[in-house]
Amino acid sequence: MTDLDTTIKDLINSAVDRELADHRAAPPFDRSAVADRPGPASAVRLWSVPLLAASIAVLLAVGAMLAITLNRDQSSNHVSDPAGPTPSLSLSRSINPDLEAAARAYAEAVAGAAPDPSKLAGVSVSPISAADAVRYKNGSVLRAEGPEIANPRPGKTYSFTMSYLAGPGEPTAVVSIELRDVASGSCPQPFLARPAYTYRIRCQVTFLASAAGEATLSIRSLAGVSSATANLVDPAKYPSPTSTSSAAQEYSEALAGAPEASTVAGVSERPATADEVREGEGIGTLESPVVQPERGRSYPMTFSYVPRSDGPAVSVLTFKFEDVTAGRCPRAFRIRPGHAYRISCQVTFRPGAVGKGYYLVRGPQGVETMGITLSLP
Amino acid sequence: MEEMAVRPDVGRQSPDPVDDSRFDVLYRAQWWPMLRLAQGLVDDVSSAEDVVQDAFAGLYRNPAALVEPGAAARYLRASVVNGARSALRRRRTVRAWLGQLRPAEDAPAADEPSLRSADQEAARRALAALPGRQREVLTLRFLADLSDSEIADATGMTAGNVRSAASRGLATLRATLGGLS
Repeated sequence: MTDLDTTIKDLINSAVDRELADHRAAPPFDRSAVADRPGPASAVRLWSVPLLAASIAVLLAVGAMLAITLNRDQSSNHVSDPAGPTPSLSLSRSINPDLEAAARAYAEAVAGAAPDPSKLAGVSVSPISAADAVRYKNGSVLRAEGPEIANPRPGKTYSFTMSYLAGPGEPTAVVSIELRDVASGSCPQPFLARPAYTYRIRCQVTFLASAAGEATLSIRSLAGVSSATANLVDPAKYPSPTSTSSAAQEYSEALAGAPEASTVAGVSERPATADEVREGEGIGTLESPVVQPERGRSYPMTFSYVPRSDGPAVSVLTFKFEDVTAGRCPRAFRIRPGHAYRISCQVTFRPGAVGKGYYLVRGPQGVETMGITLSLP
Repeated sequence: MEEMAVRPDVGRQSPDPVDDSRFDVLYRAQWWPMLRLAQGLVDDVSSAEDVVQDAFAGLYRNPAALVEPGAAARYLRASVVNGARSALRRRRTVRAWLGQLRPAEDAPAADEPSLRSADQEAARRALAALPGRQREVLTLRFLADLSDSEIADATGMTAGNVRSAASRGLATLRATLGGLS
């Protein structure tokens, strides 16, 4: 090795040590994660633990029907395309304009939550690294983890893990997981999550023969509720009669009516940077939120979007507004992985409302919806 | 799944006390080097911890690998490499963008970014930007001080391919980082 090689090696070693500075102590080995396996008769089950958990991540990675939605009221105002198939994964946020009601709901959730999740079975807590503190300084990450499942067996118990990384700027929140469309299941009780920590929550579930099952991770704070919902098994194993063909047809129609981005006024396109490509996920950003918008004034706003690197070769992006007096954006256009797009829009805010915008990305398997809040009150 | 060279055995009987004792010793000794290796490969502490946890879980299910410490370390390294490959392939995060709406005073302390020196950052970025196999080989060489044959064992590559990948990767790093002091 040359002197430069040695320098590079030293730098990388010191960088990794610094990144792991807060993680030098080995956590107790979680035997519970593997203790329920053994015995020849449970061979399939042993496989299933890691395999199942991964199905969630695979759905995310494949992104079959990732949907990120921003709702005022999840039950009545879901913005996912109603004609599209049921999303495999959705992230939703409920920003409640009634702060008193939000505070009341939060207080009730706190009263029923375990104050110290580190003592809860099935929950592991670790401080985030300095790198993640910078990377997610004002954000959070909801993540489903693990390798994919091949064929879930009704009646058998599987484990899966979801995690919540709270950036340093995130509020203290109550974290809970709810299971739906399963024969039975158990997750740790709700608990208090504080900023700058990562919480990994392990659940167990037994599937129905006829449904893929869903897990919803909810983060309730004074600002409202954020939640991520994931199908626990590839819904293709439980196909609905119309969803796949319907999604494909709608995609085909949308594609036929969408021009290339370069031909659409108000849209600019550039190659994605290496960092953006490496990031891999679909990222929508608002370049600058409006602070205390004036009534009746029209604001220019610019939104960026970087498609998922593993997404469809061509998707159709539409940007829409909600809860504004008026909003105008370029028409739907085609997007491709490896490129980044800027969309110039105009928005007039509604009095008392922060306003919301949505990226609707239609691919052959469904619609991804990402919501973003437009202003600071 | 073609990259899964190491898979957990599924038929392990309940571990006896000797197994658990050996396992605990090994866990304490190998957790940190495996976490460093995983962090070098995935550059995300949470993912690295998961990869390491899964590697040890696999080892726990595989008492045969516990008999000889060298075999256990080899098993763990291969598991970490495979786990990191899977994590990178499947990494999918869903972010909430609430932060963009937060006032500046909610931002973390201003000295946090300076915790990593510019040179360290540059070296990490340059390593992370290498093609997958080159990055794996150099990460194993730099962070675990493994020989080419040990790297070949951990990655499932031939020793010749390891040498070739290391050579190409080092050449790229030298070109990228030649200006380092």
